[in-house]
Amino acid sequence: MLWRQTLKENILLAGGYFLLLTLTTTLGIWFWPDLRGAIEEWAGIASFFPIEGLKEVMLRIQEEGYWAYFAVQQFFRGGGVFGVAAAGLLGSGLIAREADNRTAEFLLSRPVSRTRILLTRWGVGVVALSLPLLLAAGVGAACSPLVDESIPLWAALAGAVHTSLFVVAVFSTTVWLSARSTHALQAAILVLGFMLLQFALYLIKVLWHFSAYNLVDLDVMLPLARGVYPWKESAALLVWIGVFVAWAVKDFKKRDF
Amino acid sequence: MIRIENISKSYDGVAALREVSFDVGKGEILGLVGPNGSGKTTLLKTLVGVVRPDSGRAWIAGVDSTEDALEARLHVGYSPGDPALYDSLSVLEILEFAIGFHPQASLSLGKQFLDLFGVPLEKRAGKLSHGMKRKLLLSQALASQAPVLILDEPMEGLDPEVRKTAEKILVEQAGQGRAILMSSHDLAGLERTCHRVAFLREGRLLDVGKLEHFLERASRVLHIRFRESVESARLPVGKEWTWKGDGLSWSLHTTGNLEAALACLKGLPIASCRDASGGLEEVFDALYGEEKTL
Repeated sequence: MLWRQTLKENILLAGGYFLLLTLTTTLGIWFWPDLRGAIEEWAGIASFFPIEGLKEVMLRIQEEGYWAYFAVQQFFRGGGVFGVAAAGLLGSGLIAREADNRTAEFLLSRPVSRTRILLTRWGVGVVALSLPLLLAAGVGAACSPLVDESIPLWAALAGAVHTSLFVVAVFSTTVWLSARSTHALQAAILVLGFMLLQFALYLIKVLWHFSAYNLVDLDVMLPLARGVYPWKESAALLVWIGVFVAWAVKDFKKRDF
Repeated sequence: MIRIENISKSYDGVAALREVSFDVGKGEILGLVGPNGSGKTTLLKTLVGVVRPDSGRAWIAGVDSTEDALEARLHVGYSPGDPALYDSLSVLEILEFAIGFHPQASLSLGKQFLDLFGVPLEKRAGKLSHGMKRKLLLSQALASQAPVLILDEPMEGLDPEVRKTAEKILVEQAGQGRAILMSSHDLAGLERTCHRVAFLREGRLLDVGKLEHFLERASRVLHIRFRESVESARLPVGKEWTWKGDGLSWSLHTTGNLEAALACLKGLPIASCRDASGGLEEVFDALYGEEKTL
């Protein structure tokens, strides 16, 4: 019942997120032959921008080819940008919307524990955010032969799993803020503002080590093509998720509505 | 079935409830009365764990709701004061959602109540009027088949006909042994349904007792119309009686019991006699004027 209600409330957002990921993946693959044929010109254009991160990306694509391009499109942009936006929007309303819409009294007077409410909703959010990433990665792997490229399905899915952990970590942080906020927008602004700051840090060479985006960048994703899964980074993301989910449960349990 | 013992709650240093204590027995309807901000909703929310009390304890069907709110809520059919619902869900989906956590709930009973109140099952909650939402909330509380019903202003926004139907249902539910605690501003409605009444003011319990006990405090007035003009000298005189009026129409005000007043009317040419005694509203005015604190 709880999961159905949560899914129904968020189905449009989850569906839109999946469509956006699939569409941009397909368009990205379609554009690859043009980029492949003029990679040095594109790298030259990128070098004019004072953004070290962008130059680094172009260099990696030149060196590693299609897999680096796919990883940037699929994981860094798909998860790190669209995924983070979806996590912020979905997570912010998870609890705070009950206060916003004044439905908290109706929900919390049911004989169901607050822990179960939060974890069920969090679980639905995890599926709604991760499944589109996995499906879009599968679609990307399946479409690659259309541009005379191939990537192992295992690597595409493993990359999607790791990116999902990053998105879920942002989502869990948003859920924690949502459990403390009286307005969904408050939680969304806070987390998206924080992630924007993280992204800005990543683009500055001397500060990029302090950015959370280090956990999903090309350094982490490129070894996947050689069958090396980023266990260390995944473990760090799991700890991040665990801490914020535990805080969210604790704060939600003691909150008055 | 409901026992409240010294419940206190404050928000940012402002007391919302101050050591409130009373109980509601099996088969009893207790009406919770008080002006806006008197603490009625906070008290009801406290009983189901939506709000945590600062101190005090409450038991529902023997379960300490301040210790184990989840277990206590299994015994409660609750209708919130704020009729806010999930707008994207249909009436039927909300009913299923609301009663789905109650092991003893009956979906068919819920549908029967909704049918009785004329609430369409397929309509989205977002499209329902205020009154329709109230009916849905009342229906789900009744369909829970819980031994305790806690209803925050269940009659607010209902038209008089539906209100009477709902009152009749509540009296029947109490007759089946359910304990009902309901808040309301409709004092006439409470007079028709409640066995006992509790008055709150600024978080304090002013008084609690049987309805008759309060009604006895209200003034007793009989409007009498005579068949022929009656002079004041012809009217019986008593220490507890006062006559007002003239000629054909008189009012008898008494502070004593009505039986004695009626007996004194024997022999007078009465065309009609109407009871115009004060009710809970008069008691309410008197109580909130004197601020008697228990």
